[in-house]
Amino acid sequence: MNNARTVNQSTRQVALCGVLVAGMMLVSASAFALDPKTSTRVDTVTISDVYGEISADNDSTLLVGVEGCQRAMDADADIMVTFSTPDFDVSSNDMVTGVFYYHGVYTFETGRGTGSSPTCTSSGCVDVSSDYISRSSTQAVVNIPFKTLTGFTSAQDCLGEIEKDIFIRLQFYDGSSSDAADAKVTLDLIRPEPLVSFDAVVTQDAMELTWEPGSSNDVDSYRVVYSTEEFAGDDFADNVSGAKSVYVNSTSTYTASTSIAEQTPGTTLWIGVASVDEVGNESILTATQPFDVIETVGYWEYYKQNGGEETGGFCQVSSTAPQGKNTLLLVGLGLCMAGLVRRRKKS
Amino acid sequence: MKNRFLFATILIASTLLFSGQAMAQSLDLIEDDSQSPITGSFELKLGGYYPYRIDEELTAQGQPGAFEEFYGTDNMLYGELVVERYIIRNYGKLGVGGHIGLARRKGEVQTAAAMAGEDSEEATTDVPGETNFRVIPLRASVFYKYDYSAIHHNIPLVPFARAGLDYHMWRVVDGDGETSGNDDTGVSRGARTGWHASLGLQLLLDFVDPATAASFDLSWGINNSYLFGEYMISRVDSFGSQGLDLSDEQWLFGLAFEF
Repeated sequence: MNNARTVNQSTRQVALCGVLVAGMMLVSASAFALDPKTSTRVDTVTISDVYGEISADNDSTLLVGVEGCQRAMDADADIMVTFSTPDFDVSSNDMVTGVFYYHGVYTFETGRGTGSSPTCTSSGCVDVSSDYISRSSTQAVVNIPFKTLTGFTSAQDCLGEIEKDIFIRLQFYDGSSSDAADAKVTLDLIRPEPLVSFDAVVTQDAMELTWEPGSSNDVDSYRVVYSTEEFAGDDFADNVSGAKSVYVNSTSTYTASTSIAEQTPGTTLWIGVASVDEVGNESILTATQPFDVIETVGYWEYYKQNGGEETGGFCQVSSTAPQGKNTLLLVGLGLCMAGLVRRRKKS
Repeated sequence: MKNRFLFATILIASTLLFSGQAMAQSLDLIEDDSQSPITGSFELKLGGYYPYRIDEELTAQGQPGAFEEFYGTDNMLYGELVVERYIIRNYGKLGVGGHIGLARRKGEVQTAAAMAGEDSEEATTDVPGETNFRVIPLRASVFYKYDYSAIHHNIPLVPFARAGLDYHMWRVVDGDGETSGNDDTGVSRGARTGWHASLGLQLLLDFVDPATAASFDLSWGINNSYLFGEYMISRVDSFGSQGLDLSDEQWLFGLAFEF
């Protein structure tokens, strides 16, 4: 009986392990396809654009949207990748077995979040010219023009509605095995879909918006554009002049703070909303809609409107308080407490 | 009112039941030479608070009650901390105390059209925005606790009475945390003065586990612990002046620790 139970338990454990291993393989496979390769021999990998034209970056990954791409092209920006290698001399080209040495810097492209990592020592990668690489004993720095990296010739290419990952790889070798570390530039040149619809309620102190998002699945914020003057929608928010805007990190509703909602009751506020994806690409605005600013009242306003005589203040002495017994009560209690304290001190 | 009496009856009955069981146990620890000196106490208590006379100022003029319109009629949760100092200890304890409490209620703003009774689309629109009411009562009181029987007759019940002066700070706050009001309405914060009186009954908890009670004294200096109920009447209308009337009659329950 006990043996049967042990066998059953073992079978369940093996099955569970199988499921776990399969799950981990799936996860690791997808992670491998998406993430830059790392190595224990490379301490840190940082990537940035030299002139700060591309705002979105995250350690070893640089996210480039349409506007960032256009600015980088217009500024003829360089992409700089720094590989820190405290454990081996990356300046060395000496082929000594058992000691890692520099093998090369390569680039390769995949579809965004898809594909597999090639073995650059054999094929599938493009050699980066040594003109763009500087090496010391502890780090290799790659300074490559954005144009060269992307193959773009003008800022107009940034409107090509493409998505891809470009990897920059430092490859090193010890005579018998190779290792590598990557930095990644993600080009997301596809703008998100605009909102399907939205509605708003505007008061003198608050603005509440609700909306139905578009079909894009990489939207993570919205840009609300508003003005007391009528303005046209169906255009990019940056092309609207005279309107104010605010970015909203919410999925379907937003209640504005008073700092952007101080409006005059009875006037009209024109509002348009755009989707913004994780890279910062904005959709065109929805068609703008007018909303009447509704007057609201809170407790205090309503109390005063209806004849409440409270005037506030912390040191008030009533001018209408009935004198006599209440004053006597007040004085009596005060004397009582003072007398008790005095008696205690004496004792 | 009936519910209050029913509740009080249940409280007293259950207390007496406890006390009957406790009679057999020693209460010597309440105040003997083995204890550290007892100089005062502190209390934490909770209850409901509703300034039920606050709308009378407007309803007396034939206007609707503003407080009820925005905050409803349910009690607010009220919490209070009390620190007391014993001055005389003969047949019971006489002393003075200081209190600080807090109650608050969140309401929603209404459209002006709705409050004006208009029958329009705007009047029925659900608008965003909050209006919050906060009260911080400060009290100074004189009290008397009859614990002679608890000390000398092993009856773990301590009736007490309090009376004193009140200073209630209040504030109406918009949803953004700013105080309501403008040049026309004035600023919506201030304070109202008044008085309070209360009666209560404490149940000495030390008899449940005298050894733990003794170690509580050694570790923390807490001589005795009590569970208590209290009925308090407060008149906070700046002694009859016009304005917000923050008076209430409330039941409070909590824990008291003598140190």
